[in-house]
Amino acid sequence: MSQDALYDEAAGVFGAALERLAVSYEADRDKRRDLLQDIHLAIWRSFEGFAGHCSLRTWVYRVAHNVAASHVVRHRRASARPLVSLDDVDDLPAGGDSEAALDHQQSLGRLREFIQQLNPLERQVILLYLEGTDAAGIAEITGISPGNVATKVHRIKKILAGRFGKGRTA
Amino acid sequence: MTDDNADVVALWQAQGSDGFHMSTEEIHRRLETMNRKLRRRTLDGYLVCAVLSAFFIGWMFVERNALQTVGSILTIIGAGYLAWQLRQNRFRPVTGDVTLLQHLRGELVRQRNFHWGSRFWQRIILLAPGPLVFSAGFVQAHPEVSRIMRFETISFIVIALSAIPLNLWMARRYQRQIDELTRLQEEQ
Repeated sequence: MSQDALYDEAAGVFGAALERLAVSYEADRDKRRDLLQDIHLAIWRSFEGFAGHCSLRTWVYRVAHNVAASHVVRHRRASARPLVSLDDVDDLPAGGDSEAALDHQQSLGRLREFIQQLNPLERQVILLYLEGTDAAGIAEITGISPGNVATKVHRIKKILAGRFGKGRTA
Repeated sequence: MTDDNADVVALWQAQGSDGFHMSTEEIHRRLETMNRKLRRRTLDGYLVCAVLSAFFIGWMFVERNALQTVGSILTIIGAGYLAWQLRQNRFRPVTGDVTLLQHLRGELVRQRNFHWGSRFWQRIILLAPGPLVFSAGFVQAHPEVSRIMRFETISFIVIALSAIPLNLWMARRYQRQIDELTRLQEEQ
């Protein structure tokens, strides 16, 4: 398969997921557009070395998250707010109230904001979880052991249920 | 997955998409623009180094003062080092062969090494002495400007010295993140 054909397939299948990924890495609209373009260019360029040792999904997510992580590392200096790990999430304000949680747009906004505060590695785990990737897939993409992924996913499920679930109380 | 989380996952996946897609022509056009910009930036860097070197080489023939000559040679070596670093820091495309853990670690190590370690000290050692020795030679040859030159030299030293704790602080921040990744890898 040619580089162009591989890119077209990847953009068609994972295009929407890549947009969601960009949203979770960059809050500013213009910078987000630039990041998305960088991700697409990196994916097209990377297919020059794609030998099919892993699935297209794994390859695309690896490239996309690596570009996004570099974006965070390089642009972090400008931002005052420190990135946190899942273990520190309890210290973050939950934001909004239970009525607001019922509103989709507000919930989505809060979910995006929550993800943007996580460090790149845990951000990737939660994004892959939200995209429906199983623990083995997450481990293959991130390089974290399946055991560690399982622990993190368990923690993510608890946090999401507590902060964004239907029965959540403020 | 609990029902609550199924809702959250559905909410996340139902986000509106702009249908962003780049045609092959657009990709080639943007890559060409990007490569042109990178080439231009590198050439600009080389040009600055070349102009700096040309000035100090020329100066060695204008005033034959030993200290100024040594300062000029050291500055030319520093400019050569900067040009070499520009070449070393060429853009490397991202690949899907490496996991985020490996990529992130490489990125953080690169940033840490820029702020501390051999690359930082090479910059200080190769860039700072040249102008200082040159200034001393200039004062020797032109005592009438010694006051202003002394002020400039002290300012230069203060700036160079303040770069040390600032860079150390930045490097420590990156090191903490590297340590976290190391811990995560060791747990595996």
